[in-house]
Amino acid sequence: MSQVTFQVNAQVNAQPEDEWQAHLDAARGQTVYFHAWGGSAEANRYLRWAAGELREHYDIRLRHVRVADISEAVTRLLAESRSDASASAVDLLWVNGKNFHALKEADVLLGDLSTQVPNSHLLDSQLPYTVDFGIPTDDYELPWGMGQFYLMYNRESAPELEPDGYLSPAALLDFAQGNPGTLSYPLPPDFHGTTFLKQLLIALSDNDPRLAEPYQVATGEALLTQLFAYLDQLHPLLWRDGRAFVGSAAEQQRLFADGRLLMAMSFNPGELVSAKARGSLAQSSEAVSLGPQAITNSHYLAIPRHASAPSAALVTMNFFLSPKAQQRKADPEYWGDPAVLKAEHLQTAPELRFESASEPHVSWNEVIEAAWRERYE
Amino acid sequence: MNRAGWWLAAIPAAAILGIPLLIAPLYLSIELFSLPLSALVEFAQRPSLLHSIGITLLLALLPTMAALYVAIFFVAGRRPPTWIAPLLAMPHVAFAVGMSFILVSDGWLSRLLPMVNLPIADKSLTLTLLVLFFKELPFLLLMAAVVMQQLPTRAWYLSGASLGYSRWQTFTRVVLPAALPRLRLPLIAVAVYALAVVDVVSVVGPNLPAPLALRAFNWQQQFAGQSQAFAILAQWLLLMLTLAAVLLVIAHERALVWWARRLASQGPGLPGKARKRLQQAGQALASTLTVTTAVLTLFALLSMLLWSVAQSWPGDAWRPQQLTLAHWRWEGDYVLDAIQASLGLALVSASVGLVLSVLVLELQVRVGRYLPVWLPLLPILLPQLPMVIGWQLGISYFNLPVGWLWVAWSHTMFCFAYAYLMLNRDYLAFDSRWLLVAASVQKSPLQAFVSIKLRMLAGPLIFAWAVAFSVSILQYVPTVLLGAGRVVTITMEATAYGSGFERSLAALYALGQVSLPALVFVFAVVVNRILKKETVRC
Repeated sequence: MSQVTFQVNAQVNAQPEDEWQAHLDAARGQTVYFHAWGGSAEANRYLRWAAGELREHYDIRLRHVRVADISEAVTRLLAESRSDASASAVDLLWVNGKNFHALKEADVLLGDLSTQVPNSHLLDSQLPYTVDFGIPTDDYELPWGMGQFYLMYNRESAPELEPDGYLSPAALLDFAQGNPGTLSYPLPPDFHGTTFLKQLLIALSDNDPRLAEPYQVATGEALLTQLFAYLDQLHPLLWRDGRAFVGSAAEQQRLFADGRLLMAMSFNPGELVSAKARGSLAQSSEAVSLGPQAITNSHYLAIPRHASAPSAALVTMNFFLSPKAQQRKADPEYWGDPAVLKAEHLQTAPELRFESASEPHVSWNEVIEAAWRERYE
Repeated sequence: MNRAGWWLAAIPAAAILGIPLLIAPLYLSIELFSLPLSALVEFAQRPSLLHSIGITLLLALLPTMAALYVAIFFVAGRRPPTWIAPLLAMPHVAFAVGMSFILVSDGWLSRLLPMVNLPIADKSLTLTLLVLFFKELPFLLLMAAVVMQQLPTRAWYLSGASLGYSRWQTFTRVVLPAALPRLRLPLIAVAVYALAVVDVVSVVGPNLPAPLALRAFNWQQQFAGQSQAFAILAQWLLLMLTLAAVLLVIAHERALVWWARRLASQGPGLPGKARKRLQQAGQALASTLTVTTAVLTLFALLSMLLWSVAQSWPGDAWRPQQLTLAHWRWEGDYVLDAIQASLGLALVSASVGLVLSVLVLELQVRVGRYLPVWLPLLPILLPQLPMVIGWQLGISYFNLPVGWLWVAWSHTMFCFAYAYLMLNRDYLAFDSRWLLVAASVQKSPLQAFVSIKLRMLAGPLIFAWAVAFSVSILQYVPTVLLGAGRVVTITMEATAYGSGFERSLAALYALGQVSLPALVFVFAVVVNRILKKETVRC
């Protein structure tokens, strides 16, 4: 199927077909080291399927290098660029936000992706994917899927959490007061942990327009003060009295499944459905947004300029953007990560549950993380 | 070969083992001196840095010393039981995953025995201290047993008794001062391991703040702000803390020996009742804790087996509600892949490490000059994280390709040191007159070396290889940092899943991680038995 799609695309895209054919030929027998977050069981299983497809149809070996945080791969790429390495250890990476920003700034990414990847013209241009955490992508990364941040709770063990549409920060604090020691969040700079802080900031400040701009001390500090005033109240009520935090969203979900924590968090709209289907989470588990608008972002694929197997990386990227791969990715039975293609290429349109809020400008990330460490570490 | 020839042969051996040890400080120094002073100032202002240093020293010294005293009290009474050795096959991370399930409040233990609910929190210093203590106890007991075998304890106890000393009195006055210096290097190895350990701490350790090694590892993996500079400075701080820990271990040893000597100068005397009771209580506690570590290891194993077939296991139930083989079916192949990767690495690095350690020992015998024992053991007496990061810097400085070869090479360094630790006393104690006997029946020197010396040392050689093999399986930091994702071992998988969502997967990979060292230990025991039988027949 993807083969057929490609042929149609190649013509529409007016890309010289022999150039793409050259990539396909060169890709045969190559190994793609795909550095990608390994903390999602669904994503891991999906990538195993993708590896099988790529091997069968393109003779490419896809190796998922499961990182705890993609900043590991970014650090490696930046170190490689400092020592002028000619062949990178990374062929393809799953990236967005501050990590993309750092790579783009260091100029270590392959550009002009949309002209090189035929399936890129299937992308739904209605989606706001050309800006990543306030930074223009400039064709150095292509969208792969969408995430929307939400909390999970169990309606049986937390019956008082029957929110009207969303959970306000005040209601969360109330809940924490009534159930001390049952909430936690992943230790920043874990990206779920930092997103939780940004989500709080958005909810507390009514999505202040300053969040969309680069952080400035003069105007931004008041917002941070608001956030930390809230956290100072919340932390003593958390799991381990806020003196230790869960290490990752996955660890938090484990404690949630055990009933030791009453909430967990996720960026993947399909995660709750698939975890319930697998029996890993109770059927009474529900999703709720923290605040009326949920942080919604795209996550992307990028190729290092010095990738060891650039052709295979391009072919892999093209496969990930094929209707077949996108359709399967969006299916909660497999992963549940919303597709980024135009609806006409998909059997079912992806749905985001909550009203969207954009990511704050990338500069807020580091400011929040640094201030958090300064205050609580 | 004449003596000069052996001297020449020593040069490449020294280069193979010495250069890596020099590269690490060299590149850490280059990076250090290229840092601006402001980085140092900022590093010193890192929040809770002193707190991190404090818990790092505590982790290095408290479990180590506690395990030492348990071992001392144990061997004062009797020989450690043989079932201690297989406990070494339980990897640290797998053990940590098991303990975080069993020991914490409302954990498995309190569900099995509702009246026992220990006030131990997940991700806490207490839990980490317990994990390290129970994990290191079998190793120190085994090392203590080895030391006891080397000492003429029987004769000492007999002559002590004839002078009116009780067994305990002879032990404290004569045996202990002789045994402690021989336990120095194993103690330092354990303390330094705990000082620089990353994987265990990331599963069960406190994280606000985390111990210094984990913070250093995280800085190394991040690019924001000054993270990279902090990582370098943290490595130097770790090296300094190592020095402090080593000095404390030695000071403690001296103090204990001084105390024993003072006792000896006082003569037998009659021990006070209170003191005697204290000694008995100490021995009873030592036995209890030794049995406890075995029981905990078994229960960790049992919990992994149960989790690996659990369809669902609610947080308040003492057993899974539904069983399934689905995890094994779905993940089995991937577990096997990872096991295969580990197996290849471990076979190569343990074997090369063993050959190198024999080479280094044989060179000393031939040349007739002996290295101080600590020198070849440096790879395990120095904290691992700074050393590996030094290698990583060196490798990227020369733009060398990452991957399997470097991982295998780094594993070999640690395998070599552990093989040397296990082997050196037996090897150097070998009576070379056996070789003269061999020469008299017209065997070539090589034939004699292989068929007499190696054959007679086969037992220690096999055990040294088994330990080196397990050491390679356990490596986490060098595999992650030098492998760049090219090499995915069972330990990497077990660590990743160990802090992941699904306990069933964590259990499955932990079982995979246990299986290899366990098999190799069984193999070593069986081969050793067969060889012994053959020797008797000859």
